[in-house]
Formats: sequence, C-alpha cells, structure tokens
Amino acid sequence: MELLSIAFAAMLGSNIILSRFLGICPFLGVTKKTSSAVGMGLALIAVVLLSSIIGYALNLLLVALDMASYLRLVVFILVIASFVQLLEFVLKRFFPSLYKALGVYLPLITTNCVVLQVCLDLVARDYNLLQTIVYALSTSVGYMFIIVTFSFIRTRLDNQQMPSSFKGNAIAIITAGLMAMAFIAFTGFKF
Amino acid sequence: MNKKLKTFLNGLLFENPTLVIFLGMCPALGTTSKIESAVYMSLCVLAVLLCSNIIISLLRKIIPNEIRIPVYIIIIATLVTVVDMIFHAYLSYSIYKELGSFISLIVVNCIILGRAEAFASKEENSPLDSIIDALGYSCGFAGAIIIVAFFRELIGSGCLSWAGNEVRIIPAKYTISFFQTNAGAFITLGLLVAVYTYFMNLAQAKKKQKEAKKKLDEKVNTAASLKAEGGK
Amino acid sequence: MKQVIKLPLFLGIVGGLCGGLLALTNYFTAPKIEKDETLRVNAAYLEHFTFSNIKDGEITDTLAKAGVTAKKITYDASEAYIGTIYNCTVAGFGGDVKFTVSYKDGKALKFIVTESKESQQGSAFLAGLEGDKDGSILNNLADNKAGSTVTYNAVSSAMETCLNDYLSEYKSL
Repeated sequence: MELLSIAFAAMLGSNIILSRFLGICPFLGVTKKTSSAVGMGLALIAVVLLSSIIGYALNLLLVALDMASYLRLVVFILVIASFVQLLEFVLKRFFPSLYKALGVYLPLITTNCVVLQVCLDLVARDYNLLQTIVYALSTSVGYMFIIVTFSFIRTRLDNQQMPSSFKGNAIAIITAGLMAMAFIAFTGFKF
Repeated sequence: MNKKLKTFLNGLLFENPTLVIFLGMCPALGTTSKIESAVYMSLCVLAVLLCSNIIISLLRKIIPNEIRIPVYIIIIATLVTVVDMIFHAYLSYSIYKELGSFISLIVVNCIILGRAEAFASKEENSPLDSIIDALGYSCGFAGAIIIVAFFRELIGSGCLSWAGNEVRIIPAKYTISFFQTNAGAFITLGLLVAVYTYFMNLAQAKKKQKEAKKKLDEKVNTAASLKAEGGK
Repeated sequence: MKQVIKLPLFLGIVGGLCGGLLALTNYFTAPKIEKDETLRVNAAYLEHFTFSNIKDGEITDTLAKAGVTAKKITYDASEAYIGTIYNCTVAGFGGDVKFTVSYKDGKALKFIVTESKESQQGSAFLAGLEGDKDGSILNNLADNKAGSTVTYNAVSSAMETCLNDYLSEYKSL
C-alpha cells in the first residue's frame, strides 16, 4: 500500500515537472514534436531506473566509508554521465533510427535535473531497493506523461495567432503554467 | 565594440540564459518565491560559474579531449559541493532551508557545463575572457530570476522582505497569492520572456533599419560620386 | 605516454585533487554545522518550558527505532515535574526533519523544528505545526494533514511513539 502511495505521489501529486520544477530545459526543447518527446521520455525512464539502482548501491558503500555527505554528489553525477554515454553507445549500435531521432537530446539527459534529483531523493528519504525502483519508475513515467501531453498541446499552439513576442517559448511556458494549475488539484487547494 | 565588452553583453542581454536560450530554468522557477532566495541562488551560481570557468580555462591546454566531459563534471560537482558546505556552515540558515536541494542541482544546471564546453575550453579565450563571460552569464541569470522573484513576491504576498524585515506594499486583501504557487511561477516567467522578446525584437528591428539606411546612404553616395565623375 | 595509461591517470589525478578539496572543506565546515545545530536544539528546549533542572531520560528501543535521539525530563525550581521533551530525527520529503516536541498534562504542547530541507508544501505543514497555539493541531494530527503525506507520515509516527511513551510514565513522575 505504501508503494502505491509513493507511486501516486511521484507520478501525479508531486509531479516532477509541474509541482517541483525539475527537468524544465528539455521540457521546452523536446516538446516541439511528439515523436522526440516520446523518445526522450523512454530514454529517460531507462536512465533514471538504472542510475537510481546503482546510486542506491553506491550510497550504501559511501555511507559505510563515512564519506557520504560530501562525495555523494560527485559520485552520483559521474554514474549518471557514464550511463548516458553507455546508453548512447547501445542506441547507436542497436537502434540507429531511435538514436537519430533523439539527436542532441540524449547527451542532455546528463544535465537533466530529474535523474540527479531521483538519486538524491532516495538517499534523503531512506528508501530500500524496492521503494527506489517504484519511485524511480513512477517519477520518470510521470515525466514522460507530462512531456508527451505537452507536446500534443504545443504542436497545435504553433498554428494559433498571437503577438509575435509570445510565439515560441513564451507561450509554451505560460501554457505549462496552466497545466500546473490543473495539477494543483491533486494536492488540495489552499489559496 | 571590443571583445571583452561584447563577451559580457552576450551573456547579459543577447544570450541571456534564462530568457533567450532557456538554460537553468529549474532554479528560475523553484527559488523565486522570495527575493532573498533568488539573490542567494544567483550568488551561488556566480561563485560556481566563475570558479569553474577560471579552472577550466587555466587547464584548457592540458585536458585531453576524450575525457573532457567527465573532467568538467568532476570539477563542477566538487565546486558545487564546496559552495553547499560553505553556505550551510557560514551563511543564513533560514535561506539555506528555503533553497533546499536547489544548490545541489546547480551541478546539472546547463549554464555551467554549457559555458565550460563552449567558451572556457576554447584555446583562443584567455582566462580573463572566461572570467568576463562567467560574470556576464551570471548577471544575466541573476537579473532574470531577481525580476521574477520581485514580481512574485510583490503581487503574491504584497510585501518585500529581506533578512526578516518586511515592508508591506500592497494590503493583504489585494494580493493574488496564486503567484506564490508553482503555476504562478510559470506564468510570471512566461510573461517576462514575452516582454523581453518584444524589446529584443524592437532593438533588432531598429538595428536593421539603421543598417538598411546606412546601405542606402552608401548607395546614394556612390551613385552621386559616379554621376559627378561621369559628368566631368 | 600511451593513451590507455594517460587518460585514466589524468582522471584519477583530477578526481583525487577534487576529493582532497572536498575532504578539506568538510573538515572545516562539519564541526561548525554541528555546533550551530546544537545551539538551535538547546534554544528550542528553552522555548518549550522554563525549567530549572533538565535530566536525560532513558531512550528505549521503541523510541530509538522511531527516531528519538534525546529525551529530556524537565523540573522546576522545587523539583516538581513539568513535562518531557523529545528530540527526534525522521526522514521527510527532502531529507532529515529534526524536531523537538514537548508533552505536558497528558497531551502534546509544542512543536519546534530544528532542521529541515522540505519542499514548499512540507515546510507549510511543519510551519502549521509550529504555529499551533493551543494544541488543537498537534493533538489531532490526522485531521490536519494536506498535501505533504511523506512529511506527515514521518512526523506523526514519531509523535505517536513519543506520546505512548509519555503517557506510560508521566503520572508516576
């Protein structure tokens, strides 16, 4: 039951983009086309899941060595960077069309706040391995859900009439704000 | 315009990280509910960006090309951890609580890695150029998030505060507390981007107009001088 | 030098230097951080009750599992028992939440946070607990949670254990 509440909170209640503002850069860059949004989402699920498992293991090691508090960040980010490199290599070799579709966004997963934040969260909340897997999976699925939905909206936005200074990213950010308003409903309203 | 001024203005205006190229958005939305948090956040980003640019620029000739990204990442992560520890120990505890995990997230802030990759590591940019570049980008980032924080705090809570001292500007019943929520942050930032794009487009249009006029004047002058010669 | 040796060696040197810098900074800042926290905790004790005498209570296994790090029993000038303060550390939404909660006359009296790194909603929940003037929120925690389930779960389970421990012995003190 607790796992279900972790999953619900990570996917909807405290959605990583709309409630916690993490992972916004690719949110604006990758949502211009639905296909790239889907590809980015899938790649992110893979990276987040695997990095969080390895991060959990490494954190146990660092805590045992008592160097955890200050070496943690460096170790996590190096793990994430190497995973992204590995994923890039695997995609290039076995799924070349997907690799081409993702293009420049794949290395950008390294600097995606979501991956690092999931690793930091599982440390902060003392999750065990099963909770880590559930949390990582639901966070990244929630992320993918939002960017794909947003790409649906955005492809239609570009054809609308609006003042030229709003075109492009300004109206995208405002629309994201309206989506965030809708998601406030999950945690209760208190203005 | 000499190179140093151009580098500084590049980061501040033309390629403002938050308003033009949309890097480093996460802190721009997450730490702007109070002006104080925004100021401290931009100070942290300034510290990290300045030190990382200096170090990477000094080492740019000896870092092997194949491992440059891991090396940059190690250096940036170390700097962020150091800044975090110093902040926790020596600066205001209540602001440290407010910023929460956003200080650790500076390490994945695209601005830092982006400038290291695109500017500080290039052979032709001296360490002094890198310092100016870092200052320009940090000031651009700082300006953007402080303006967002100013509006969010003013309209959302009606008072401006610093270190516990409050100045109430708008009476409490006229404030729109929506702007203090997450969604309000998005909307404030979106409007600021729109306003900024408008003024940039205006400036660009004026510049184009000036250039076109200059070209026309040149043409007229050449035509006139040819005519004068031809008439001779 | 061959590439295979040069690249990992360079990485190792950079890693080693950075690790050294981190260890050095930690050496200087960690004691100060701990000292600040102790000052905050002691100030929190004084804010709960005005006492003349404070003694350490025994931390049983159940208390330790719930996250209690210190239990202080307070007495006034005439050695009469005032109340008990529990110092707890629980895992909240964004990290450790360290708080002190006091009990008097059979129910919870005051709640003071000494360290937390919560998000906006979690901080609002904790601030609500801190601002509770008459115990109406603290003693009816389940009716007052909203939007910060992780923090609420952590805090309420610790508070429940403390309440049970307090109720089992306050009459005899």
